[in-house]
Amino acid sequence: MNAETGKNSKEFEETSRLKSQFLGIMSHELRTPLNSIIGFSELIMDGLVGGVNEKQAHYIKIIHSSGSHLLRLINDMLDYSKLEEGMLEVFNEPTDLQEVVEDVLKTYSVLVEQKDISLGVNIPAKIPLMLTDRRKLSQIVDNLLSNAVKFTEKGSIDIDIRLKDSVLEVSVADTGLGIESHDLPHIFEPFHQVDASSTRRYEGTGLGLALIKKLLDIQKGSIEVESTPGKGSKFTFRLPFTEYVPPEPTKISSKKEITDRLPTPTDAPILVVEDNPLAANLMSTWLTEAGYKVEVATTGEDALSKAMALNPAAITLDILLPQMDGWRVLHRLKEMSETEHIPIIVVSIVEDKSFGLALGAVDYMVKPVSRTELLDKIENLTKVTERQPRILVVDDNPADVSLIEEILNLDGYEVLKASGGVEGFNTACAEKPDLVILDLMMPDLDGFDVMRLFESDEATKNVPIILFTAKDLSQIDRKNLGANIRDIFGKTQLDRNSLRRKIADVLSVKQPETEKE
Amino acid sequence: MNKRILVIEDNAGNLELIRVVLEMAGYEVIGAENADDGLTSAYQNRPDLILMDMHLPGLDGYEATRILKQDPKLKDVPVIAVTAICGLADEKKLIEYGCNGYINKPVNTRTLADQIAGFLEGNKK
Repeated sequence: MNAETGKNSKEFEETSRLKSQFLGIMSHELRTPLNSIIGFSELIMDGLVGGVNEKQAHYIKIIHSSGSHLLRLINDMLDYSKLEEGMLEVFNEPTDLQEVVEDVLKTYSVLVEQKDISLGVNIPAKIPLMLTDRRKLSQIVDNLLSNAVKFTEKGSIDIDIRLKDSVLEVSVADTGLGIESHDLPHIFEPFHQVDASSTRRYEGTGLGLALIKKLLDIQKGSIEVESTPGKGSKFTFRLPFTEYVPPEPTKISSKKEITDRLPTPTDAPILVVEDNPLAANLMSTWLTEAGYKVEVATTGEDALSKAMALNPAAITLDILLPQMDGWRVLHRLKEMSETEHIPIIVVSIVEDKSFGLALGAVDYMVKPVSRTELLDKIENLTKVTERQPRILVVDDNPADVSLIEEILNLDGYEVLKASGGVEGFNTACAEKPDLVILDLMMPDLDGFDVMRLFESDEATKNVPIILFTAKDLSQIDRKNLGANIRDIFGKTQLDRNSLRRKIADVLSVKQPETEKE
Repeated sequence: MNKRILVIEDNAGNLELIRVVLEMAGYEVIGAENADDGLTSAYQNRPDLILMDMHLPGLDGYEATRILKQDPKLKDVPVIAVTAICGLADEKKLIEYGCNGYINKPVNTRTLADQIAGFLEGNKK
């Protein structure tokens, strides 16, 4: 008996798998001819290949919209088959609900106009960004709206969005056909279509609502429906609302804080992101033996949360990860202000350096990684983390800039350049240099004004400044100089070594002073 | 000089569509209807970018990309997959085989030229 049941359920699973596979293949095959149908009709519609008469233009529009409709159905089918296989992943990102709804509405505005329906949207004015799967949310709203428009000839469709107790509640109410009570319990079942006769009038796969239900299920959401035949239907879905909290109010201050508490390389761990336990183990061993602390993350999500919590000195990032892949992880890490400074080495079986570097990785290793390569790269990176002081040179004369740059390069400082006062101030705000070398005579904003700007802004008021000027030094009223002016250097008396000494002096006293504060 | 795009696509209609759109945007387009012809054409014509349909008869787009990426003379030519992406699993597979990016199928004639320009731009860096 039990064996029999087991066999049946196995058979059932197999059938279900085959069905999904079939759908998947079919969807691929169906899209190919659709590509031509949609694409060429689009070219004609857009008038890119010559004119057509009015009737032809009308028919082309029909071909295009039918093609697009068919594509949507195929996409639904494919998504549904993926859901059944448990292969559809949730990817949460900061989402503007207003934007999602507006984007969906755009596709329906023409249809709604043709049908004498008024469309109302009620959304709280200050709804915060939601951390959710934007694509799925849009798919859910799209499907509900598509149904409402399909089954409503006149009257209204109202979308209402509310936020209560960390739950997002969205309802779509129409004044359409409505659903008979005996049909209500079945409408979320796949391939169920209310009233077989209506299928002739209303095209559909019978997958829309089932898809919505599944999409909500995998995100711990729910959906319910109230309906009166002849009066209309109201679908309400709920999703747990997680507000997206930007890490810090401004980028600049968050950056400052991070620089301040950036641990020395030996303190901060190396985060190894690798789903293969053997590879992770091997890399950990090598790194631990070399004196590093090591943390391992086995998924993309794990990597993101550990990167934020641990502020590691460096991250090695495997690209082929389950769920969220390495490229996305890399992108997210570089997007978030808490993690964007962490150097990342991409580890992949693919030799695609440019992609990784374009996304913000500092280095690249191709699997299999060797011990020496790993240790070399990590050593280089942690040195970078210790980073050379950054010096911003603000001067409108390119010759002076390159001269100073040459001198600074001797000591391996990182050099930032700005050719005017405003640009200098902006660069200082964004880059937080350790020292500014400031020309007093500039066309847009002279050095004194720049000094005042620096003093007035929280982000720059503690940055030490060395003035660099062609003026006779005695003419400068030293009493009026702010506390952050550490030294003055005459262009006429430029002497490499004394400038280097001055810079080193200023940089060396900077640290203890910051601590005192 | 116009950038040269090699389009490997077995469906004649789709090949024609991509050709028309890209030629209107000022690209030189070379077409191939299967991977073997595509590879031969890549050697002969040295395109600036290859648009590759992944579902090709015989040798498929994945294998063809792998072969291209193993060739020292062609490995730097970006290969952009034209395919229906349904999830990260598909994306991973593309990356694994060496594709430099992808364009979702059905292609959008209104954005295709910009997408190609973006990929060409990205590859310069």
